[in-house]
Amino acid sequence: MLDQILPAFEAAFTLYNLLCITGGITLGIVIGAIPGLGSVTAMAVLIPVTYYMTPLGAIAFLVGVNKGGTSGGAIPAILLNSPGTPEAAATALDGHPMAKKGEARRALKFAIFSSVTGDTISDILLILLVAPFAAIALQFGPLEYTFVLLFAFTLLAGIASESPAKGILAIFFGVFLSTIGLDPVVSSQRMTFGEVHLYDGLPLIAIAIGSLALSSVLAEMIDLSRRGGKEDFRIDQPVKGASTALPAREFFSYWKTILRSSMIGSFVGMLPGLGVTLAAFLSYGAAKRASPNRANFGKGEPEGIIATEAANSAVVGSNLIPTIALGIPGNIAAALLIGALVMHGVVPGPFMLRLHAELIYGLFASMIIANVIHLIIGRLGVDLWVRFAVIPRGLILPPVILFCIVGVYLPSQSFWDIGIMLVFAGLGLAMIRTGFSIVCLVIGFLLGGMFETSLRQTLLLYQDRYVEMLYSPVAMLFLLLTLGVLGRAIAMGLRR
Amino acid sequence: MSEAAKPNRGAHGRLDFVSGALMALVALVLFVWFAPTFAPGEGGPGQIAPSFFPRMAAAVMFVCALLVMARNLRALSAPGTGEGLSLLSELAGWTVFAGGLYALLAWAGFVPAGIFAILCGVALTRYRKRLWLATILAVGLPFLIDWGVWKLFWIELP
Repeated sequence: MLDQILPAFEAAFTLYNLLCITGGITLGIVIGAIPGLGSVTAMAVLIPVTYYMTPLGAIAFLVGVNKGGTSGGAIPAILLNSPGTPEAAATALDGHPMAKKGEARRALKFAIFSSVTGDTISDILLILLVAPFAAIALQFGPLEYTFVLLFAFTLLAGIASESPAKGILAIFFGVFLSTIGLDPVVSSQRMTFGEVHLYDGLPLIAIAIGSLALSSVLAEMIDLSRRGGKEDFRIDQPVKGASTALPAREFFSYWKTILRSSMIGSFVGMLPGLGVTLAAFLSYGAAKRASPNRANFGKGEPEGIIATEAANSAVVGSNLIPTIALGIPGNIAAALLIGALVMHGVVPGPFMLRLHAELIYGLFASMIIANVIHLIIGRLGVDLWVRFAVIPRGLILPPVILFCIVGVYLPSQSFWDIGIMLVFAGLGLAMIRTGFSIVCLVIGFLLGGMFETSLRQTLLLYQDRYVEMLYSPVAMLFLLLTLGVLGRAIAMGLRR
Repeated sequence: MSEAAKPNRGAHGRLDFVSGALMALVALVLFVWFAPTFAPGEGGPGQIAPSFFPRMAAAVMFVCALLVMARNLRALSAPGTGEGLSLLSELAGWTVFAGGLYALLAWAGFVPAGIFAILCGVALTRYRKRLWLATILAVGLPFLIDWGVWKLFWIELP
């Protein structure tokens, strides 16, 4: 592995790549710091811009956006008690009380240091584990893939949606939409109405930007209107004489919490479908149970910030393990990365390590470099990020509509795609209001093609001898896991 | 994302039931008419029909929609909260705005459409404090983006 990673550092350490990473992290922090936006919106809007970058620069840029956006969400959570992203809600529990005591800068430093440390540990795990995982995945046939995907769908439906039935419904709606276009096996037209634009299926970028970014901005704007334009946060004035310093020694005195939270975040990130929010709250709970200062949690305990920030940032690296090894995204950010990889002609999956080893190891090197840049930018820019967090949302949200239009138009230069984006923004708004998960819809759409191909191949391979499916231990393991998750969801539903 | 705000089950029960019923109807139409009509029902020799998979997805959607309805059946007797109407008005508003924006993009171009979008957005969010700044933003940003995209990517926006 070392013989691949060392040249990768050489390839990644170019001025162009460093600029891509720096730009990505800066944009990620800025957009993440604005309540109501967040890293997913940032990634969705910025993916099309990467169309004009080199593949490595593009992926490094997006990884930077994701890293920056994840940690940027902590800024409004700490300063304004207004978490811009769900995962930052746990950061607000102790971050905002610290800010109220006048220790806002210290809280922000705790957040950025924890974020970078968690991220680095997760990136190291990714580098160590992805090759063995991909080697196992190479042994998978269509049958195994079908059951792995079923497991991923079930897990995703249980976590990302308020009810598994609604989650599965959203996923299979996405799967249905993915069938529009040419049939993957016999190439006959399906539901295209002779429209040339539909031969390649519905455009992923337009769907992702419309349903993820534009719809959430739209919902924020409508909610703001309902509140009469009143912002739902206020910034507390700093207290004179309060501490702002955070020596490295003090930070690393919490090494147990840092390590535990990074491991929780990495583990959650490895499982397809589980999100950053779950990692943040699991880690917060674990830190509270293990801490001798548990009574101070919720009152401004630094360990609370460390636990959530280290865990949610640790998801960023490890969610690339299923993405690269199986082609199955760990969460929506990884799903968007898959979209970007496909745009650059790279098919995610176990063959990626063989066919595009230079790109993948370059990506790993870029991720490690990005952590150093993230630390520097995050630490130096604390005062600046605060300014972005308090820009009135009435001024910051409407321009996002323009960025969405440009984002969709850039790669395709097609009005058709803009129309699709506008339609899916409306659909996304309806889904937000009715509690259907947009994440499920987009991941269902993204994985629909893979699911269809593997299921159809399985049915053809095993026709008239379905009992032989039982001979695959991997398929049976994932079938049992799927049934277990479904059974648990049903039992919980009945208890309610 | 806004998905973080998990809705209150009691208040959302009726809306859940109605959305489940609507999705059941959509899934039924997709399964019975749309997929079989617009996707070939016959594959090649030894192949599965191209309409098989879309119909399977529609069938799963139908079953799940029925489950959503069944789970919220009791909520039908609860008093309505007006959420359905509020959602309909939001969607109607969005349809009008999106239609206008699309038409402006096609007939007048990106800059007028951009000015229209930002002004509508600022009005919707009821931002009143620095209207001069909002006006400069609404007029200046579309021009800046149009110019920037041309300079950076050599692409002319509509």
